[in-house]
Amino acid sequence: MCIWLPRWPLQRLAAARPELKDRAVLIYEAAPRGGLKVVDYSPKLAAAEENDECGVMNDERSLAISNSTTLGHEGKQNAVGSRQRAKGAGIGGCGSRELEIADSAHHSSFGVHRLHVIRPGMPLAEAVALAEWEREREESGSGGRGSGVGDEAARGARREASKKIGRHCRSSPLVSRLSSLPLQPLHLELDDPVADRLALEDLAQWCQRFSPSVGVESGERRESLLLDITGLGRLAGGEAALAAEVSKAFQARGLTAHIAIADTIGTAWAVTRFQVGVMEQGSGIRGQGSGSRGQGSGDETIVPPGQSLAAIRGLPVEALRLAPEAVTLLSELGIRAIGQVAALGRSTLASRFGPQVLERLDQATGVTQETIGARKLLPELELSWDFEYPTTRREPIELALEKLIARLARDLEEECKGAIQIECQFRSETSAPLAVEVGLFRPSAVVRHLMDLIRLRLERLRLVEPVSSVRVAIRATGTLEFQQQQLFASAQNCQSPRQLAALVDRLSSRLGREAVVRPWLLADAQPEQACQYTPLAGSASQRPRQRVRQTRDNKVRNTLGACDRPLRLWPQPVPLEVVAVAPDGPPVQFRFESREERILCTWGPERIETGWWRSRCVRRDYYRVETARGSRFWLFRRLQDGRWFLQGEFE
Amino acid sequence: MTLRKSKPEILHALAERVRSLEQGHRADPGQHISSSCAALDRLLPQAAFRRSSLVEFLAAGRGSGASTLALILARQAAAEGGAVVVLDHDCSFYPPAAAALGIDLENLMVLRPTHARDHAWAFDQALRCTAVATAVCSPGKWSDATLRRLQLAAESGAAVGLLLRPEVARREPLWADVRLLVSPLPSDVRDRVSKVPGVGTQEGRRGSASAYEKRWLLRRRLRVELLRMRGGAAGGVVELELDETTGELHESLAPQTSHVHLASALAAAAPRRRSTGA
Repeated sequence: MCIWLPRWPLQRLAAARPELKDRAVLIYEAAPRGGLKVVDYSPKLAAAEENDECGVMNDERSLAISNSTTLGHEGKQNAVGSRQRAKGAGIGGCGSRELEIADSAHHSSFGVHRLHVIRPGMPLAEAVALAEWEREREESGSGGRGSGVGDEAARGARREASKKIGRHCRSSPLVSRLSSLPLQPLHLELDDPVADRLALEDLAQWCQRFSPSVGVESGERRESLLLDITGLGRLAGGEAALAAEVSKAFQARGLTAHIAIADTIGTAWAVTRFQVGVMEQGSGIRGQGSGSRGQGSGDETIVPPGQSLAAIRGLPVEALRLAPEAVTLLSELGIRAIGQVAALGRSTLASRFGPQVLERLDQATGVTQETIGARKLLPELELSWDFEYPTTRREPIELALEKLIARLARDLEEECKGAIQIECQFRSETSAPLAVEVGLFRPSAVVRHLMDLIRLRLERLRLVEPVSSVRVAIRATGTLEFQQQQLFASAQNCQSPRQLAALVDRLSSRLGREAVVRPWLLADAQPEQACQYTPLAGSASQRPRQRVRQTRDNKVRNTLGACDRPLRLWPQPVPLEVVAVAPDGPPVQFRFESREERILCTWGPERIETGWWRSRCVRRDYYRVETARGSRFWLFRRLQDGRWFLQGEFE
Repeated sequence: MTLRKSKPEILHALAERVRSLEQGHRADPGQHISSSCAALDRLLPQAAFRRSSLVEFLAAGRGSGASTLALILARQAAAEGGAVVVLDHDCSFYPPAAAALGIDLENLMVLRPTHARDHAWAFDQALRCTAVATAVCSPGKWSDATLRRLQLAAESGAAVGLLLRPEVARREPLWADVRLLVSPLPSDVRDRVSKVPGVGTQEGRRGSASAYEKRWLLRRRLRVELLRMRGGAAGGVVELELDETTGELHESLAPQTSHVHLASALAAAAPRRRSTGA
């Protein structure tokens, strides 16, 4: 069985950040040669999950576009309830060479196809401008037009936008209109393939309830889960019933999934992504029995055994999981469908297109074996303790916790592992269970240390209802580090990493994980954004250096002098009344905390113009000033309106 | 030879005992930290800051430079290893400035307690940890009991606790080893240009006042006064200059007497000084 989660980065974002459900989201990444490129876009994140991405290639040129696309190269149709896939007809893509992602959710009832001319690989600035233009157009009610007009208008907007976006946020009609939009601003998210992969692996772990052998597909963009359900159909009452159960489970989690059951991985993968609709010779793909027609919720398809080649014959060649160069070569020769590939001789394929095409074809038809890289079933590190009489007293609860932790720690030590994240759940008869999470800086299997941390958290917990059972689960583990003891070394040297880890654990337990942080410098000109904090304790897999471009300290020291930036920076600049001699000149006097401060010296201006890719652009002239008393402050004048603000003090 | 000690010797021995009782049980010479400026060290007992103690920096007004001085001391304390812990209760601490002063961000831990009662507890925990070289915090209205507890915590650990307080705290009882008042000093161009060393030599060849003015403009002036000290005489004053490019402290070469500024003269006669920014 292959479960495909279309537009997985957007779905993962929707699941992880439910507050973004109603916002337009654009995912971007840093291109290898510099610049920022779009990965995926959705005008409404919640709707992105319902988008049916199984479109048909309508433009061979789309295939050669950057590898970082997810689904953008498929022309899409409105598909709620219906499963038509016209071959590029009907949508404004007809006749057009543009690559479009169509959004189905809003206007499906009107049968109108809305298009967004935002394609993966597009520069970020252009995409942001187009997205804002789209939303404005939608707001002004012109969104119901037919596709052809929309397409031309989109092209016009793109030309206009690319003219305007070239400089940093000059005031222009477009920019001023953008700032007056009442809708929530477009949310930009940096592409995080590592987080996507981890989330997918967690999902694979969760899918082990359906099959003991679950793997994630290999490849650059992983969006599918592969399950081995040999012989499991009978347990669920038939393969169709199993597929329906899986589909319902995914729906309950709020994810959109397309499911296909087939003999081979290749066939299942192909069928989930490129389902046959109105194309030629689809031979009985739709499942036998009733369960396979998803009623608007993910679709399930079952390929009868032994009919793999027949099932994929009509699908395009991309369904074979080939490299883009091979696909381009085949399309140049006019070979669009897998049936045509299969019709060529084996020797022809091997000699002309390399071994990969033949290998993939064999894997899809079942001639060659392909294995699923299944994950090992992790042992459940979870124990619970039931009390005979529900209690609110701390001592029996702590005693029970200690016993459970001792047993779990023994299991961990046998594998030389330590706990990094522990969850304790207190269940009572009447109210909802209370959960307490403890994160550690370094893996530890010492019972006393773990109990200390749990006790610190328990002190803050108010047990309203009597607790009837306690459950302890270890969510994340890491390998224990062993350090050889030195006989004559000073006590401080060999103990200090452990001591520091213990301090971090204690502080994080009581103050909260987000209160014990380490700063990382970012290469950002805007002072407020030049630094990011990451928590020290917690899951080891969430260590930084993924999204943060860290500048080394000595680099900072070379570019910034010791007193170029103030030690105290207000997160929100404080407005000031400043007297300046010239309108663009340095300040002479200012009023702060009901005191007049006369300025003797100024250093500056330091002009910082940045942030045009965020919702607000920052254009400021910074001045370091020294007052008559000798105090030093950091002021800036906002260039848009000439107002003065106090940003920080050189304390 | 007589076995009886003379009076001066007895007095000296008694004074030593009193001093050791006042300063606590440690007199370990290996636990001293220099502030990197000899003039500042001379103000202190035993010519250095002591580990396992508290040091108070009182800031005379806003933008005085007290935190800068404290972080320079923290940098010196962490030079031999150990973490720097900063308690940032109002989220106004700016790490790039700390990095520019020379603090290694790999060893920096920032704590942001949300409740006031956790503030003192977190500082206490940081002081007790032997892996922490120095902990910096701005205490609020803490009671004497809390400060006494923090003093004991500092003595049980190996860290220097740096407290940043406003000038009004000079009237409060002292629980730290040393209380220093840091005041900013205005920069005075005319006075400085004439007293810059090497005026007539290599630097002088490059040009006249502009080169000296630039050198001066890159130094920030601070006045540090030792208000109180445990087991020692207080009252020393020193004027320091902070080199803004390297973050190093030097003693100011200006005379110790205070300058007499005529505000009207400065306002009228001093030209508008502007230099191109960083």
